[in-house]
Amino acid sequence: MNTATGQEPRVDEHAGFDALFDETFEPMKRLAFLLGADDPENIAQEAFVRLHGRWSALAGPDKALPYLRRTVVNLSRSRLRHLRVVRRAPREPNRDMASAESLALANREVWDALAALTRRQRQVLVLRYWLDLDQQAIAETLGIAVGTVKATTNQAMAALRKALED
Amino acid sequence: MNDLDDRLRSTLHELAGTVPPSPHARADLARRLTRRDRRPMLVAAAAMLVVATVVVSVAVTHGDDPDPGPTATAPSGDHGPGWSRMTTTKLPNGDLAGPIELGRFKDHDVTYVVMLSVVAMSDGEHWSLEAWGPPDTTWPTGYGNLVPTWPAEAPGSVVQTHPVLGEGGIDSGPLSHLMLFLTSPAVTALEVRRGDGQPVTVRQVAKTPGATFYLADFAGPTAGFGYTATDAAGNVLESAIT
Repeated sequence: MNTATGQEPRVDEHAGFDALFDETFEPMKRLAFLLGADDPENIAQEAFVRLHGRWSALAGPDKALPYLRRTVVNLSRSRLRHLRVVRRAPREPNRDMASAESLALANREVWDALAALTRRQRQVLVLRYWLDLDQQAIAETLGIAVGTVKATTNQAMAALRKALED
Repeated sequence: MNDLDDRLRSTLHELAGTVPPSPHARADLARRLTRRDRRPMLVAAAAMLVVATVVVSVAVTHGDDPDPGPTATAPSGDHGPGWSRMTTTKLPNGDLAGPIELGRFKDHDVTYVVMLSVVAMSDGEHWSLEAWGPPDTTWPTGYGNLVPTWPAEAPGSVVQTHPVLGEGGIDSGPLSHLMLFLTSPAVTALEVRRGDGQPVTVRQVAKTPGATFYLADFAGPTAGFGYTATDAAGNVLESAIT
């Protein structure tokens, strides 16, 4: 269990936001990075700004972290889409690749295979194997059915296994 | 736990560990929150300007068929305690824009209204798309950014495209048929085409010193869309097929 992100922290009405920020800003930034965002820090910051604006409207303290995760995932997708569309703008360096170069050889092979998966497959695996979310939490984060999470996970693992065998 | 599970977990944790910490994260957040807090004040100030303009207009014309001028209308449909904030205001000077309704949708029987706002800040113009619902409801997706500093010449792009809450990629989200285009002030006309080449209905929804905002209604899938941006002389500044 990733204690920083997988467990629901206690969220106090007044100090809860600051505590949540201290506890989860870095993991949220890394989540955006693992999902392929080119500006993970900006995405994590924006997610907390939005959470701050809705803090009092959230129905309960257990809603804050799921909201945060969902916002980071959505913003990461948005940035990817933006970069795909604006083709004529100068390309930004691919930080995935830069970081991947420093990985151990075995892990680099896995990362290359992971990067070749579909966006949804990659999301499911990152949420499961990095955040240690269960299927229900993954489904809520991505806004899809639990059955879709199961099927996507199976497809992703099969694709990953095949890529590593080749 | 099989070998692939372990390798995957190890890879993700090692890669995540390569992301450097952000020592100034809290200060950055405080700055963003301050900036965000100022936005409603600026919009309110602009709205007050509208009211002042209307009052002056009425006073000058003494009620002789005055130009209706700027208008403020509340959207029809579901009304609740939170809907009073959903007032669409047309600003007379064009310096700021919005909130402007781009569309609305229902989710679990709750109606959300998607609003575009543009405000001028010390670091430039900021625009945002947000879905407003009743006070006890939230819609987690939205988008906001600085209006870009447009390049003076190629190869920089003079057009930006953004899905309207469709942050799950092409043709996703509750208003997947809509797309927002930002263009540089040099662009005076924008044509948008669907993937099959058919023209798309485009309307200008806002114009500020920094950009012109167009809303394209594809009435269907947006995948493979294209666009052509031209200047006042009819020169094609940018043409693309995605």
